[in-house]
Amino acid sequence: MDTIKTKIKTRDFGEIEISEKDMILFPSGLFAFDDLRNFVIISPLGEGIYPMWLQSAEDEKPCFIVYNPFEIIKDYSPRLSAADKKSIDFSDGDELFYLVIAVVPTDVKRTTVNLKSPIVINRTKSTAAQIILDESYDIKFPIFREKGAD
Amino acid sequence: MKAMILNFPFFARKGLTDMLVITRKVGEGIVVDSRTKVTVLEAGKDKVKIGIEAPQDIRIVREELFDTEKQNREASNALPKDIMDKLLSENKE
Repeated sequence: MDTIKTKIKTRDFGEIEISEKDMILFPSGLFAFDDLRNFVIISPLGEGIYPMWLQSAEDEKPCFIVYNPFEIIKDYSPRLSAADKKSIDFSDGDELFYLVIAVVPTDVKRTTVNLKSPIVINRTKSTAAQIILDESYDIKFPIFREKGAD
Repeated sequence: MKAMILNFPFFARKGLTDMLVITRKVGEGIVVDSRTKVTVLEAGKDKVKIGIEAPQDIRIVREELFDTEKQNREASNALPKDIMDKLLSENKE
């Protein structure tokens, strides 16, 4: 199948061209952004390097800087409820990955991520949802605190 | 009127000085502003089940959802150019 290209406007990188297969569908949007359905992940630092940018494909303004939670705390163990699984159309064997949304203040060293409410992406079906975990993870987890004197 | 049941993990919050603290038995409730009734339905070791009856126009959400919405709004704010440059360069090895 040919990859269909489409152009979208981004908050931070102007107009970019993306493949439609890279579009991720959020059937319920994100919390406080319930009406946005389609997002793309942009990797300005290179493939597989975080942070990445989660950009709305419908509106250039909503854009989030996202990290890989497993790079922040090694034993991160999100557990999906049945409702969470249903929201991303999960079936056994589907490949999942997680992102957490960062709040980047003027002092970048004080960046925090929301570990309590990760975004779970079903890579197999290109669907995603922001979920709230039962486990007691921090909503404002400072990502640079382990580096001490850094 | 709507009735909803939420399960909250129970935890004590420290440092909140303006919090009204009331002890209730299972089955007992409190009334807020004559319109909203909050009833303790079940109390376990580390969880309580609460029932809330309130008018439709009152939005009731779990605290973590409210906080996540707030975080999301804050996170979506455009970054000043210098911060953006910093973020793009500092993470580059």
